[in-house]
Amino acid sequence: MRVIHPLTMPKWGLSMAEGKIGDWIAQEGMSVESGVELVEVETDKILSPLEAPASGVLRRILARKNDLVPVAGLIAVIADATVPDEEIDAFIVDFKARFVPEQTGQADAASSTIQVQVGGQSLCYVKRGEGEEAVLLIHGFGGDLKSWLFNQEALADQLAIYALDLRGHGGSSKQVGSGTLDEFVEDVRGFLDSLGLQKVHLVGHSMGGAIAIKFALAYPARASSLVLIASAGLGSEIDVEYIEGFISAQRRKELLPQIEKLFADRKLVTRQLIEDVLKFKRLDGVESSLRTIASQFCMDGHQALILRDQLSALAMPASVIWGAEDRILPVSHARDLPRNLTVQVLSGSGHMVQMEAATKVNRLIAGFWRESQGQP
Amino acid sequence: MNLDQRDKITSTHRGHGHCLAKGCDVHGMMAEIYGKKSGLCAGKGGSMHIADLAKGMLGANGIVGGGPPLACGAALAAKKLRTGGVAVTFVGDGGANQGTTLESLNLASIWKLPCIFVIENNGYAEATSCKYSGACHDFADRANGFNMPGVTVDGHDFFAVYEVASEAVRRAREGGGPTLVECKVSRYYGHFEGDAQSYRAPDEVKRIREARDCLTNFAQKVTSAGLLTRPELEQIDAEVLALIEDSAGKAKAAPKPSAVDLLTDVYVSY
Amino acid sequence: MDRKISFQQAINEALAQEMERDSRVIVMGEDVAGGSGTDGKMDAWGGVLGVTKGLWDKFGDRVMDTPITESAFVGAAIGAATTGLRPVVELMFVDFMGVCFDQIFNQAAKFRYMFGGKAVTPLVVRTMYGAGFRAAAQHSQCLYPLFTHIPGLKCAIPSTPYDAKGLLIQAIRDNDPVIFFEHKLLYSVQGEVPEEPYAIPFGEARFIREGSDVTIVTLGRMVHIVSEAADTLAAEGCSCEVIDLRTTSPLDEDSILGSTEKTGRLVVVDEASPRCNMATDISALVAQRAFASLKAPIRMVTPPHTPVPFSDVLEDLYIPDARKVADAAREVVGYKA
Repeated sequence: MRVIHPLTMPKWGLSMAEGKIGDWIAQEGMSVESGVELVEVETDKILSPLEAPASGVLRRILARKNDLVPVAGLIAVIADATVPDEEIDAFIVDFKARFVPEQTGQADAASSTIQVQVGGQSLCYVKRGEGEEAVLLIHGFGGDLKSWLFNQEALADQLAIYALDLRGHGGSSKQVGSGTLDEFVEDVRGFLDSLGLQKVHLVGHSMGGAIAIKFALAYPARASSLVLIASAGLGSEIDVEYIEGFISAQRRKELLPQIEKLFADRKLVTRQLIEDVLKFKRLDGVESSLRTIASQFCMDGHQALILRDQLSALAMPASVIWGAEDRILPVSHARDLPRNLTVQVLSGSGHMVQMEAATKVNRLIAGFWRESQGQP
Repeated sequence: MNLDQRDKITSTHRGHGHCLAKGCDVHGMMAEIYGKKSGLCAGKGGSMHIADLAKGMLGANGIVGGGPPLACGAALAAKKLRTGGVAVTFVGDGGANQGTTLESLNLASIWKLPCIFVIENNGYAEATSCKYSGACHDFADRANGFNMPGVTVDGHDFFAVYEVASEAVRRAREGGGPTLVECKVSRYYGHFEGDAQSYRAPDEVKRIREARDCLTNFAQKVTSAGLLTRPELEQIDAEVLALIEDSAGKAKAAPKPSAVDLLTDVYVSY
Repeated sequence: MDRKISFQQAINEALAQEMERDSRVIVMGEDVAGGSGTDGKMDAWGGVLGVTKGLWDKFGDRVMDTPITESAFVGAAIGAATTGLRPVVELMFVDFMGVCFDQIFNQAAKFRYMFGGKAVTPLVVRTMYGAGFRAAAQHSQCLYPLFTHIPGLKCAIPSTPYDAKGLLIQAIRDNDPVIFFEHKLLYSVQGEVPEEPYAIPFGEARFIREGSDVTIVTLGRMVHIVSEAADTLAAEGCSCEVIDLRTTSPLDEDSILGSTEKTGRLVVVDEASPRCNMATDISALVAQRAFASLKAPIRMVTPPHTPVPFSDVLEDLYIPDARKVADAAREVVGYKA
């Protein structure tokens, strides 16, 4: 068991090479609990707090405000109070000696998205990690594979993690047909077929969760497990004002209040995030595609497709994660679910819980996968 | 009729006659002259910018020579969109010298646009005689320099003008390109209301009115030919007068635009 | 990540995609194809700097070379716009506006208003502007303030290939007359541009960088100069918020005011001649509406009140550079009442 825990610069985003340290929330010498926020980190796209990877004392801070630290570089050291200073020093020296920053060329090569043809349409995806088992991450309405910015790299430990852009989103084809859940389910099947993936662990967020559920019900032999994050389809309530506002917003000041609804902490909504969403929405055909999709899953101010009563029929392990402050799909949808699902509600997080509480969510997912394979 | 609803015209600053001929609503015109909200231009254009795009009247123009390039554009659109329409641009002898007019003659010629250039030569550009300001006596001669037919016609003679216009319109519609038509006319009134016209010889206007008045000669011809009778002509005059009196009365009584109208219609959207 | 293309290619792509989508869009201008009436190749030039190359091959007689008669062909574009076409007419150098400005500012700009809201003039005038090309006084001006001044016109001035494509597509789809300004020195600048068509709304400035010490508002090629200065200042610990206007009419007043209220300090960098330019316009806006937030007087960085000189040393002195911008920022940040 390790007693010295490094806090290192995570890789958020496939082209991220370094991050800038912001304000320190914790102080050197402080006792910290695992998962607690320690320091803010900024990249050109994202501003987010880093959480403590373990409990202990924050023994050494190695990067101060405004310092630039490369991805995987050392930021701080957490260890039990009983660990002598010399061991901490030795650890730091050793870490730095062995540390090789990722080459920019490598980062670019690894970060390129790949296009694949499914049912005559182009789908865009990114793969991280290698392993015998594979995972498919499915984003929600209006999102794209970058919804998994804080998760994909971290989860790619001996697993091949695929994140795709659904049709109508990201870099995939903007032709969405009738925009039904079934069409998306067929896209997922076609996607797995074209990559030669027989069986995968599914992780779905929001509308992606509903797609994952339907897929798992339709093709149980192809889904090893299911993680549903703030999933659609588990209740009838939905903030349709958000959906309509998101679709119709053409300018920053129209979009900002809608995007803010996705997070419990508004500070996470940077101008760059808004700009990226606007860049996507401006593309010809996106607005009408989004409307088509929304018309399928929203009707008269409610969710149109309720899958809640079919969850007990799921043949594989399934887990549900929800942010307690979710303003789009209420956390009540996570309560009183059939007992074959494990449920985790995270306080202080909103709808984009996989971003707001990334470290926690990653740990929960990794733990769930280990358990579902009968590992400790 | 030589022109129909496909066809467009541009006019000069003295555009009321052109407007009426193109079928613009008299009440709307009158209200516009009075600056009322019910005017053709909602009171925001006035006498010098009277227009009705729906009727193909692309506006009286406060800029001398402002019309010909626009007419070339309308002709270009008609050609590209294959409407079969033509454009007619009216300029005075003053406007005939403007660079815009000469450039437009060139452009209409090289692109074979269905555009008819009508120069209403009344001998005076504002207060200056065209004998002084125009390098040629007959503007129709300029057509040679632009490789298009040029025709001079007595602008007081209704039937002569009609014949010349028919030919020019037919030619344009059939893809034959532009024509330059010079109508020799005379101006009765001054350049603006209140102009004493002291730059003209005394009795000049009186003599023209007696010998060459368009309406007098028209009446003479149609009655001699037995096409219309005097009473019928007088009836038409009475109806027109009544219409004008009526529209003036309506225009005087009509409401003016309100303060909020000041800011509207600068853009389609901003 | 989108593929990278040049500013010039982005403009060409915008034109091609819109001409594909809407058959009423036509392109007119001097040498836009560049071989009309000759025995040699049609599309020999594709524009004086090649921006419209390839369009004639795709669209034939919808790409029209014009004689050197701006008032006629710009006027014709306006007349055509009012009667059913959607012309994109090129005024080769904005410096030539003198020979056709009446058509633009007295006719096109005013039709909608003068004709009581009944005219629609969906015209785009594309034009080259800016100094640095050693093209001297009559081929190097900016002049966008003169067009911004006219009610009824809209003005777009992109600084990147992404903005060039999106703003030009918006201009073509817009139902008002739009003047689209292309800086001659930006044509070869590369940037990520989506393959699909997209339209960037007018009146929406872009935050190039976020900061807290000083707001720098700029546009066009000066965006790149200011970015350079902002890098230098960042290394000194001065954090700049840089705003790229993208359009001067309509103007994104909210972004300018909001940012100035946050930082309390404003520098405006404008390549246009200093009297009555965008810098003076924005300074007045801020002085009127955000005076209480100002911690220092506003500074403007502009050329001097002279024509653009020919000799390279003189022209380089004329154009605002990163050093002058950084000096201005330091001045307002260091200001003590």
